[in-house]
Amino acid sequence: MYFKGWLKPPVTKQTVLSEKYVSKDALFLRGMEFDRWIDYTNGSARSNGFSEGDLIENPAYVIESILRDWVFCERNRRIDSTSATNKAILSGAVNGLGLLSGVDDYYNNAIWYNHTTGHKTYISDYNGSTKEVTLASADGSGLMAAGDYISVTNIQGDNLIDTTSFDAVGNSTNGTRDGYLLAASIKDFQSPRAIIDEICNNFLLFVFKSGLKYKTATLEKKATADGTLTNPLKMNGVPQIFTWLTGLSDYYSDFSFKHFNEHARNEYLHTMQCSANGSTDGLGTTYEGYCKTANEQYRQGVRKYERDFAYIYNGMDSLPSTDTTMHAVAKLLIKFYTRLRLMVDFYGDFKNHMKYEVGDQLKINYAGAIPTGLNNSAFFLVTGKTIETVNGIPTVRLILMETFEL
Amino acid sequence: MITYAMTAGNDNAIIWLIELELSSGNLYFCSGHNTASVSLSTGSESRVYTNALQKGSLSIYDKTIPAENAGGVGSRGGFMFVIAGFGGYDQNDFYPATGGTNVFMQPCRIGWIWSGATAISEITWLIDGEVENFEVRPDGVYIESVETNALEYLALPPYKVQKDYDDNFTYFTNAPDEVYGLPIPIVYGRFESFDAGRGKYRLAPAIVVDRERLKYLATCHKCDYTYYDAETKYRVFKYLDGTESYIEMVPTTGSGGNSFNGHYVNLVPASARAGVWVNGNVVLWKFLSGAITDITNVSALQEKNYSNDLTLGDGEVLGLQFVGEFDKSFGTPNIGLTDIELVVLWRTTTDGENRSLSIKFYNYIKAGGSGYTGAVGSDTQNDADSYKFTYYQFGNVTDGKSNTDLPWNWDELLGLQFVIENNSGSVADPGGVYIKNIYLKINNVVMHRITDSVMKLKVGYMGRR
Repeated sequence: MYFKGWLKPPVTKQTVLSEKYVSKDALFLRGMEFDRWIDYTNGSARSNGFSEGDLIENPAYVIESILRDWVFCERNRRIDSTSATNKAILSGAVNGLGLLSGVDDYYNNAIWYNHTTGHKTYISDYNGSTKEVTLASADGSGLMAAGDYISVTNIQGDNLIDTTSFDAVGNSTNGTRDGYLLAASIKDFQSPRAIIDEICNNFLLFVFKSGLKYKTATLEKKATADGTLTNPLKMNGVPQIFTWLTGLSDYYSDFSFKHFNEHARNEYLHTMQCSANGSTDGLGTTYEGYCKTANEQYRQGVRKYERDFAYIYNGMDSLPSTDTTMHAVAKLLIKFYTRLRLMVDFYGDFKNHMKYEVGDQLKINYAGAIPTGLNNSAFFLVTGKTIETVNGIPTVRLILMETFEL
Repeated sequence: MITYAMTAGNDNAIIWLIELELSSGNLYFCSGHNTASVSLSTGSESRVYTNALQKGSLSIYDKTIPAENAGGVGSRGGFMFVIAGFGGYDQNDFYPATGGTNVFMQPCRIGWIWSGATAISEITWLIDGEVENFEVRPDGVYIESVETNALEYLALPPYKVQKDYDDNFTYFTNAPDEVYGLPIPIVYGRFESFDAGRGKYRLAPAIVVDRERLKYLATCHKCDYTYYDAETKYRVFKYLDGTESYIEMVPTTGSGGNSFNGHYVNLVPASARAGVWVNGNVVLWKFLSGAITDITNVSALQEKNYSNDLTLGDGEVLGLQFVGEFDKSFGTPNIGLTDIELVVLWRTTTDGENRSLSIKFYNYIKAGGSGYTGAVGSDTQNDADSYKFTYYQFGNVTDGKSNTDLPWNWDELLGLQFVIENNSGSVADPGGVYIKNIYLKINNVVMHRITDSVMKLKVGYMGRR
């Protein structure tokens, strides 16, 4: 079913001619810090080892910050009137730049910035019909007034972020990316999608929408599977489960990872290398061995893989330390790309399989299709999900990829 | 995993529910064989979902993640359906003549229940979308709802330098022309390290937004930490092309700010006046082995990737000459003793044994050459576990200068042959030393040119294609 003038996939795209710029000037600083959302979800405590005011440098929380602090926002709003030091109306009636939503409590727990007075707090109550906000703490400056410029961030953030998944990746105790360091100055206009996509690409993460919420997942094997597939649907008596290997174009055996971008020179200063012939300090024979095995097993000669890591600086600059972010990411990538992986196409009934979604990791217990070495033991990452109708019955089709662990 | 809002019984059928928000009110639809409508309780009222979907018209997009790239953003979820015969509504409900909001970009979500559900709390929501396409045909309204496109239609950073309206934030009236319209950066992580002796800098880019105050702005938000928090010194770094090094610009009277309106440093007060200006510190670390040397391979001290030391054996001499192809018009070296110094970072090879270095220079630029300077530096140490800085200072030395009445100039400094000798055998315990860094530091350079134009690169159209 396609409409006239239909774009597939549907796209609303930016068509702003953009420039990059190279500044020769620089300051010495640490960047964004956590706001209140790291400690609270819908007003209830949230625990992940970080607090409001801490530096944001874990990639999972940088992504969460981009969403909450820079996407779920209304900016350049103006106060139309105030009735107290903790109450302001932004209806647009006077200054024409009011809040957009007329739903009661819509802005509750959103962060309030008054650029004119310098006051920051959060919104504790919102009256949708009058568009009056109540601030959690009064603007002590006493100067809050009509005309002030306001930014509101983290709007509906607690309803749009799956904090459990972000904390599983980022928490400072056992998060799967705990200790990974990100640093970047986002100084050229980009879409949030492009930024998040590159961060995910740099740190081997996935971000997707699960129901109403943004969720994150990792590439490598989790500690515990999310479930086990056992019973594929049958068509004419044939079980609907099919397997194949990824293609020869999906493996590599000679790796170069550029990192530590120096903005004033507009280039990367360091490169991490690994091939069958040798590698950078900290990788060594184990990872050279993966490259060697790939060359010998697939007999396609050396296949080169290069990737730029704009968001990673912690790597070759820190030698002789080899316990760096770039080392950790390199190990995962080399392990991932030096083997072809088993793919599985699985049809399941709606009732028992609708609960699975992309990013989940499942075991498959079906000896008729899964090799013995993987059956009911290997984890498979759900990379695709389709809801189809087979003979009028809703069916869930999952595409899965064999995952791995270090 | 998705948590079902309702547990299915053995024989429950699935019923899809769609909610569409219009300016005239919300519309509720359901699917289901032989199901005319579904009534669910909101707790305070009964909400009726009418089966007005054209049979077989509902389709839901595939969801995927880019596993082949080992990471990335998943596809946008979405769904399409047809409201048969307008579902009891009128096309004007979807496209009011004036004033009202038409259906385009209105919220439209889909979820499901099992048959037998009685409350909206039993709906498992699947996709929360917005109407991106709709079309009216004789048989009904065709609607496509897709998850929000905000990730693609927004542009970050959200703020740019401007002089059109005073928001007390991004409004700068005295910025260089080429700076207007530039985004004010968002910064994550640490930009707080530099190892000048190896040219390793980790600094956040900044832009000049006020030429009078020499105001440098690095972020459009509050920073977790700024340099003057620790040292109460305001400073800005300027990259010096051709040296792989930055000039550290230090004002005599600086100021700065760090709030949610951004982090900036002013190098001068509102009105620059006599005695209020900016000095620069420059580190030159790129060098070649000199003509008078026992060590010809100095790569250990020029390699950024590694922290290997250079070993200088007892009685050995290391000669070196600094190199740099840079525009020297930015400033002039100063004349104090400590304003020019050769810095050596080193340690003994054997703990407890005293080692000694002597340092001097030879100038072959001067016509007739006076040979080695009479100013010889020396230092000793006996700790193998920590490195020691030795500073050979000669800012006021005039030996070998072409014009002894003027400060050192850059060409004179680049013409010097520095000679570092391990003379431990003659004045201390004989043995080798490990050298970690050698660099020439020129302090308090009188800055003539502080601001440069930013370089712009066209990168074409942004956004998804």
